[in-house]
Amino acid sequence: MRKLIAIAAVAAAAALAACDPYIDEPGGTPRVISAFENTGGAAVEGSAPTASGAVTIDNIPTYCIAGAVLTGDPRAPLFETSLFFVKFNKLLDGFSIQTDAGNCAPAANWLTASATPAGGAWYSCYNPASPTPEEGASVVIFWSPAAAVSGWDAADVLPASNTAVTTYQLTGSVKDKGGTSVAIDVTGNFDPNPGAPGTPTFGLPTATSVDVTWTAAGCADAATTQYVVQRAPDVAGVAGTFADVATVAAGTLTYSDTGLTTGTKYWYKVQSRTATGVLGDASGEATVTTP
Amino acid sequence: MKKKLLRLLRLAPLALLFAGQAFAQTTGTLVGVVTDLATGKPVEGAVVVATGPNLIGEQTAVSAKDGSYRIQLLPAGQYKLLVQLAGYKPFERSDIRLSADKTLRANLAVVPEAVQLEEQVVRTGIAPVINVGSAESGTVVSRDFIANIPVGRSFQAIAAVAAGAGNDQYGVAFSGGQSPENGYIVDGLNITDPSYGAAPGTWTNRTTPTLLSNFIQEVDVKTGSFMPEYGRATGGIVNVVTRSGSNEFHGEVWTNYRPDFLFQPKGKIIGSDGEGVAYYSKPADGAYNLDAGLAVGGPVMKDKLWFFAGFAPIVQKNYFDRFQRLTVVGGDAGAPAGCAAGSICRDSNGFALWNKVAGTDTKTHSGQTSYQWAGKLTYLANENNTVTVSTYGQPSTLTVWGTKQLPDATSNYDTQLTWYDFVGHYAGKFLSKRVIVEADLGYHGQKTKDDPTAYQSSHPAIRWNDPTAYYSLTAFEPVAGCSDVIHCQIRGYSTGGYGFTGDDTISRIAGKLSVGALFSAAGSHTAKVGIDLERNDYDKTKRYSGGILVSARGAVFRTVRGYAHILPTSPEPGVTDALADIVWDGSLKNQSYSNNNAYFLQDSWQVMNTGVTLNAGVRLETQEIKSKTQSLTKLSTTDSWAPRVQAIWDFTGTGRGKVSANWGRFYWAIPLDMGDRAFGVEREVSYRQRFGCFTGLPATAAASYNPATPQLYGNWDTANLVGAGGAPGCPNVVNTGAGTGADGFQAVGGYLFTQTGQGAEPVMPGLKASSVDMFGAQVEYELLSDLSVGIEYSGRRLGDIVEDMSPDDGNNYFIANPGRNVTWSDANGTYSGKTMPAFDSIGGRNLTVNFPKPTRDYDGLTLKVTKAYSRNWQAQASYTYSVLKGNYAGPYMDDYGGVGQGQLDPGITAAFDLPTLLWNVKGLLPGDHTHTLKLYGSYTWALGSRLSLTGGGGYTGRSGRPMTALGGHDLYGSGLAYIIQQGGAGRTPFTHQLDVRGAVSYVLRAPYELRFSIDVFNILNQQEALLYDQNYTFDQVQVIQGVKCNVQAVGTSNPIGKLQSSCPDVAFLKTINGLAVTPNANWGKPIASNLAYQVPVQVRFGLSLAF
Repeated sequence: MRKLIAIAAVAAAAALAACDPYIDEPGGTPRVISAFENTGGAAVEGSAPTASGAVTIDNIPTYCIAGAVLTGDPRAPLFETSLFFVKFNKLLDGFSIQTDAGNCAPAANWLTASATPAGGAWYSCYNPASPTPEEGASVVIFWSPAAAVSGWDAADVLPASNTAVTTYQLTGSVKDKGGTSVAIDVTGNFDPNPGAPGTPTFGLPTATSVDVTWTAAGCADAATTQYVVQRAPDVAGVAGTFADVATVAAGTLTYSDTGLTTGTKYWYKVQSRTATGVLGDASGEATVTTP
Repeated sequence: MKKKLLRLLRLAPLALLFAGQAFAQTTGTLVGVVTDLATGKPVEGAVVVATGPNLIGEQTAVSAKDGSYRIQLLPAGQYKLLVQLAGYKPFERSDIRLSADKTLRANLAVVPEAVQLEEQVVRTGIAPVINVGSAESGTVVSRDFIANIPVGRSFQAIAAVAAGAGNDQYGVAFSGGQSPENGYIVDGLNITDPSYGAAPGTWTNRTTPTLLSNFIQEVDVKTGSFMPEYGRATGGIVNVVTRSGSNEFHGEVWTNYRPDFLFQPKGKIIGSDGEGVAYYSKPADGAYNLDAGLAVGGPVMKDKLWFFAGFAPIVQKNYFDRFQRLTVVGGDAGAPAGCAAGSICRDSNGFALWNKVAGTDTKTHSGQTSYQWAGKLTYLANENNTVTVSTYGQPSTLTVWGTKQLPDATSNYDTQLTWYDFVGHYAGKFLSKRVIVEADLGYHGQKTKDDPTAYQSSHPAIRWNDPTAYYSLTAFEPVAGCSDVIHCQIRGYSTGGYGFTGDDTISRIAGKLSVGALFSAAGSHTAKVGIDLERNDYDKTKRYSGGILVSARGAVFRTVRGYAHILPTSPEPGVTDALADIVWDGSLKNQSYSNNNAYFLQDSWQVMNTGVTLNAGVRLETQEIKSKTQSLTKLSTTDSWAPRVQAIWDFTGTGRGKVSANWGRFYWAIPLDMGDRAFGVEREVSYRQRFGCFTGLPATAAASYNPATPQLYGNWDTANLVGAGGAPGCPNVVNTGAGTGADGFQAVGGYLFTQTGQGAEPVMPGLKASSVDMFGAQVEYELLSDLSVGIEYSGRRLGDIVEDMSPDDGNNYFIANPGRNVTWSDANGTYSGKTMPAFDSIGGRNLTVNFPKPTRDYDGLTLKVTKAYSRNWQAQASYTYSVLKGNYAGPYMDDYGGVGQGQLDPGITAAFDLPTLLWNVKGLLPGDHTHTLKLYGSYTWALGSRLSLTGGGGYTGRSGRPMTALGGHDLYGSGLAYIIQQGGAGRTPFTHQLDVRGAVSYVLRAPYELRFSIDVFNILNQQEALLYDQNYTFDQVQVIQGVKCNVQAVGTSNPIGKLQSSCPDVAFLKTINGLAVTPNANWGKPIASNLAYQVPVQVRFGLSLAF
């Protein structure tokens, strides 16, 4: 009997010890699962990675940049950063990414950039954290004028044209903890954001039409920046849902809206738009009432 | 003939064994078969009479055709059985020890008159230790155990002797459950705290004594797999039976005195590593622990009406010494060689070196005074009808120390805490005693009243805490010799009043009715059907001392809580910049109630001639929680069907062994904290402002703070804030409300108030109650007389849980079963128990995530040896190996905040509020203690007829609890983001606790017995750390998903270095803003609380006179 008990005890203890399903690191071959760019706390997702892991991120808003200086954006200076996040399926070897835990200089110069703005350098931080269990670590790549950085709080905005798309391509390879290399190839296309037009003003309305006029957006390019006119019904003193009324050609700062109902209050606003169709900021809202 | 008879007598005839389920929760049952010793055949018509000191009158039964008899409703205690039948010699059997809620089998063999025996061979002994009638887990702690083995004075402490049991912050916990999941029953009444689920006396963060052992007959600890008449518990059942009177007058006068001030055990210094303030326990200032009492019981009318009455004052006083200390820094005079200039010098264990600042000792105290009563009347109308009424209760005054950092006359804070119970019980036998009817009616009350003094009502608490930088202690009080911050740094400081206070009025009215019947069908059956109804009421008044709670971080004051609401006329709902829009509620009163009903049916079937017993039953529980304040809302669960089955095989056929298996589902009744906090109104207004912009106050705390008037800051509110747009001298006013960032009101200037909290939380349609499945198997064998060995496997798996969840990243909440894929909408939004929106605070992406299924898996293997009390000695040894893993600890979040404060909010903890609070939570749960070894024993030496000596001891050895690395959560604050998987940073040390008792009894003149005892608790003066600081960083971080850290980093000389070298990802961790994380220097080191270490050696003297 005692033998039986002893055997049962040993067997049960061994079974309990062997059964440990709770450590479940995402394993397998390291691969890029996504890449996105974050400017001003909002993310712009890239394309799905190709077989080799290459990602293109289009339509990154540049927020009205003149030269290397961000101007005009109300969210400045808090958001003067351009961060590339490359997300992986698992944790990586941090020492293959940054020189050491306190220095985000790319380890062994692994990172190659298609362009490096003057007066600064490219940095790569290993960010082991992630917001969901489906995602592993990320490599955060950014440009900074600082001589040495330990985190991406030092990132600066990437200079980009306010008239044409500016492209930065970042390539290289890093390693997972098992020493397996994984390629990074991220292309970021910065599309200019013309900024917000002036709050619309109105000509004398008729029973069914009104002329809407605005001033050009702060960073508009007269040759390429278009404007989208939007109108909303009045709902108990506040604007209802805005709908696009028209997109006017570059250089035009007025629009005659027709088909209105007599004796009705309308809300208008205007949003800038680049030649490639990227929407910029919207103006303030204004109301007009038809007679 | 003679020879044969003697052999028969030796073999079997007087076997006593547990058999089947008992009838009642407060009484036991004796069953057996009367046989003719000469023929071995059953004897019909024998009269079996049971008598005992705890039984009023006598109870009789007549043996049936098969010789069987059964005597029910016997109070726990010693019994004598007498068998009488014409033609046979009267036979008497004594020393039968019966426990409540147990059935004991006592087979009796009678000797025909004609047979002459030369020698009466009677096997003496007591009840066997093997319960062959049930597969329930647990143990019965008798008065023999309590009297001879050093245990605590209250039933909570007594229950902790069960194999594998351990204490958590709110009491004793069993098999992976938490103490608030237990059911606490006294004399059949559920006395579990209706508001939070712990035992009454164990209030949230405040503990007063529970019922004293002097008033207790026995404690039946059911650690799992109990039958359907018990419910509303997913942990264990602690079933206490109080003492009764008897036909003789018995009484006891006692005192237990622990003069802690006489012994000055070397206590560990309590304080955060490298900080400028520390404490140590200083009993010499006058600490003691005293209970004294009187209990008397006897007949009012012999064999008709008995009484028991007791009264005991209990006083406790604890003292602490608080002092300032200067950290030794490299370059200081006397700094050790090799300590780098400007950095903190450390000893070989990694602790900062320090020097006490002379003359800064300040005495502080805490304590309590309680008056406990117990009373019982037992009335026997006739042999078949018994009525019992009992009452017990305890008002306490509790003095809490520590409302402010620097003790002064206003530091202490008093609370009145009272619990009381009244129970009425009727038991009747009908239809030739084959049907038993029992009815219970009880009232349980609790009342608390927090300090109403003028100081508390007029002074808000200010919690000074800067997670990013240390304060200098000199900012708050003069510190001699502190030249710069590093020499006397401090992270947190408190001034002003106590903070959150409140008054509770809590009650439960409970009624139970059950009918049991005995019948035969392919064996014998004991069936029982019953209803069990409860109505709980909870009136809660909440307030903050001074009306608000202020948190000061650097130079920003943030009023985090103040009961108030913003008028609906405010232009934006819940937000305003105008004081005129705010209604200050001052205090808040919520009233809620619940109806918890249950219906059960169970049968215990002893399958004829097989040695097999099958117990099966089902219990249906329903629960409804409603707020009186918001009457539309309710939680209602109506389909909690709890089936339970047990199979037991007595493989010896003689009651000396068993193999058993069990499975059952158990539901938990949610306490009314949810009725208050989720279904009541809890509207609060938060606002923040820069310190420098209070009119009349200087710009920095350092320049202005005067410890003599710490309340100075507490009297300011935003009315003192300089008006719109800032003012000269405070251009940087950032009047953001809590988390409203770029709100349009910011442009208006002035200050912004934000209302937090909602009215009533919506509830998932078809909500399922919280449940746990329990299953297990036992093998037990009686090796020697009264000595059994056993092995038991216990498994527990979580079913559904009920928790609050947020559909919108922390703005609103709803009640649901996390992980259950139910989506529904109401006027305010759409809710899902499965998928949730989440915001990636680093990447700036909106994500949709799936909630994981809640899990809590317990597997435990226990080896047990039990020697019941006989021949002057008893022993109990158990070893449990267990694993507790999962992502949900239970109604109590141990690690909330990271330094032991925890969160007891049953059903509405922070767990499952947001997806981001769950990542990495799956791992070793705080209740995981791999090895638990318990040894108890006592021996009594009789030195003549009057004098006896008893020696007893108890040892508990236990693995430490798992520790983790926590960071700040971007919405919930410090100590809530699991940087690595839970339990991955090592454990607290293995603890040893050895307690011994020596007692001497002297019979002055029968029946007067004088007893003197000495207990020494923790005689080895072990002072291992019980809890380390788990806040790896106060920075807001995201967690490292999928990390494989499993390293004993905590408790080493360099915990942070050890963790970073073993888990290199941790070294690269960034804040959500992309800064390198700043680790907390105290991480992995003991917390700055008296919960940090084992209690040093204590000596208790006991003196009693019993008659």
